[in-house]
Amino acid sequence: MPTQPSQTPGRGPNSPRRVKTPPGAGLDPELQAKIGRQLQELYRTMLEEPVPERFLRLLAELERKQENKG
Amino acid sequence: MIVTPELQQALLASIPALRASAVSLCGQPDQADDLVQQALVKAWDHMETFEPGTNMAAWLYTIMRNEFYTEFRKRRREVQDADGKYSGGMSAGPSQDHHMQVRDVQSALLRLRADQREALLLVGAWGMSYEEAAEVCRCAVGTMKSRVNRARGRLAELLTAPAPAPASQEQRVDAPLGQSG
Repeated sequence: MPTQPSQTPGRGPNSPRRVKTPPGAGLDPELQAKIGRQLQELYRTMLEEPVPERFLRLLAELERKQENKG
Repeated sequence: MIVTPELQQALLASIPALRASAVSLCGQPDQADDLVQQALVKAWDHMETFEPGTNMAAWLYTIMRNEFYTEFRKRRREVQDADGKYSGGMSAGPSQDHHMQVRDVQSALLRLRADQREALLLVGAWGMSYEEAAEVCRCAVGTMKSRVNRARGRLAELLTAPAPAPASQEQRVDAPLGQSG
């Protein structure tokens, strides 16, 4: 097998470098804070979504069954 | 046991948190609501195991989690489309016009390992302590801490890595094959 250094075309010195981050250690606090905020925003958005009709129907149906039993 | 109107209200109020968590559990947004439905039915039938005064949503989450790992995955495998692919969007709902950054986090989350995604969900979104989250996931507290740390690290990595080039023209398929001995 030839062991030439693999040449990646189109990668200049200014191309973004992939930073290998050891898990949980030495993370950029600013980046972490930013990701944290975005996570919170994502969850908040999801929590604000109205409850779909199917679940209202489901609960009504379960209640109806319960009343028929009792 | 009778599911009182108060309990029904609490069930209803927990649905948004359950839906968000179901996406995290499944890793496949289009199946999340089926899982939520399954969990709600189970919870209704086992309401006597709910301790009044405790967190209904957290109780529901443990039921949903159990459903997912025992029944849901099994059934999903049976009914899954032949191609097995899933839509990238979290939901086709009102959150579609959200700006790119949140969508990036969203898709990065779906690329995390399931246990790490869950750790981040419970600690980061639900606001559980490491101890509570460890109890829900039946793992050691140290394991939970490490999952959260790894999830954060991986998320940072995914979000700062250069976007994968769409079908790069550099990809050559005409390279000589079979040179090795």
